[in-house]
Amino acid sequence: MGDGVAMRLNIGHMFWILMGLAVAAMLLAPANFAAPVRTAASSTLTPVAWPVRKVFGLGQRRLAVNTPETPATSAGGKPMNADDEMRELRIELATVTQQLEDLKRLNADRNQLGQLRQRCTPADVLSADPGGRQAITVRLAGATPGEARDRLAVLNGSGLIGRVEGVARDVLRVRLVVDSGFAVQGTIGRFIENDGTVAFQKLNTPLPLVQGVAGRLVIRNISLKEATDSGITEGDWVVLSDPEWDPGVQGLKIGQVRRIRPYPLSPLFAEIDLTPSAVPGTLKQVMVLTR
Amino acid sequence: MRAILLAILGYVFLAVAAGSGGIWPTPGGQPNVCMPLVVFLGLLAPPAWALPAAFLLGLGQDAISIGPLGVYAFAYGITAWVLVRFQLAVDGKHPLAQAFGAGFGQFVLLMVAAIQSYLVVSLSLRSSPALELPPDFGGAALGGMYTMLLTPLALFLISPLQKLLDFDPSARRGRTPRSGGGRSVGRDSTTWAGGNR
Repeated sequence: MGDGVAMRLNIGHMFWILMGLAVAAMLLAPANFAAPVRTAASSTLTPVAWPVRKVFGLGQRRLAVNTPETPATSAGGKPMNADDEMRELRIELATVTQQLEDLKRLNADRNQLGQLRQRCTPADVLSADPGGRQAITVRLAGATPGEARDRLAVLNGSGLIGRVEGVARDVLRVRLVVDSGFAVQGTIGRFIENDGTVAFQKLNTPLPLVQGVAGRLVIRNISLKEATDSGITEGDWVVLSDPEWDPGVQGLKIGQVRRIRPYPLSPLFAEIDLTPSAVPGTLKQVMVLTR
Repeated sequence: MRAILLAILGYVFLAVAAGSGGIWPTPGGQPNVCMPLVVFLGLLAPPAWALPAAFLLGLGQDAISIGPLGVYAFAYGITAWVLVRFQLAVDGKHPLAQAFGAGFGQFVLLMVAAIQSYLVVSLSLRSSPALELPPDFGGAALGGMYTMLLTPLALFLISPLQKLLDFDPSARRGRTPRSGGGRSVGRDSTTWAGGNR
């Protein structure tokens, strides 16, 4: 009888049983289900994913320096003449210069963190979510055991980037602030220079809830009247002010006000679009607040 | 041999997808790098291999994504299951068939994600339904178009592997009576015995 059942249990049946399990998982499993296992799965792809990311990054840089002043070299396998060779060398030089600039920028970026830098561990970006969600996988450089934990703040010199949601040894999965459903409380204000010092002047608004919506950052919990009365304008900043986050990162930039308009789905409320302080696609290294 | 090759292919596609995630120079959206492999399996592989391989590829993509577990696995499974039905009717090596297969796959993926988020929110199936938001339709539509363009190119690059994997629907077409249609072919070749070489 057992043999009969086994014979009838063909791959088609197995397939539909697995599909049923997939439906159950997508509807019932918690959002962070098996996060460590999933982070470990991401890290196993590193041997191929990391070089691919490097190549794509180089391609982006190459496209950036390949301006009309420095056009591409001769195609079709023809031997290069002196002009072509000179052009090729100029492109190489521009690429090396760009790399040097990147290193300088990285150092300046770290210095911008000030005191916070002592509490941070740098982490290289290994890969990103392939499905259009805003998440990256990073590896902590020289992490000591226990340093990598869930829910750590991730930042760079420009401001807040996201939060760790999944750890596998020294590999972390970071959900970015611009990811759909990510929400954090902030404060709206502007930086004012006075006698050589820069101070943050808070505007009189209710605490804004900054939400990530498919790669955008928006505030939708302030009424249009409150937004007008408080004088929010383009160029104002939103900084972190959320008791759920580490006290050290309070006041970190989240984004800059880009546009204020009535929220189409609820016109009495304002939809304030923010430009994220860190552009996810260009991240190469981030800092994780480990200490 | 076939299983090992498919595992390597799946690993490479997943790794390229993870490595290139978020940095495609395509405005408004990004292509789904794993979809070409699903189309390859659906249009050219024997059903006994196509269905589980597509499902496992989806499971792999679920594992490296931040979204709910099972969405890619289910969507890729459905896509492969439908494409397998068309193996005898269309030329799986034709770029147009591949592009439309990819477009169909992206549509299925978008629908599965939308229905999943709708059900989770409306039925309050989880403790934090606020995390489940409807997918970005505009970005998904653009991403679908990029995927349709990428698929024939990617399948051209891996076409030499087709012989190595012994994926030849035309040979099966010769063996199968026409009157049986896709349904009987699917049933005959989804048994364990039919799947093992």
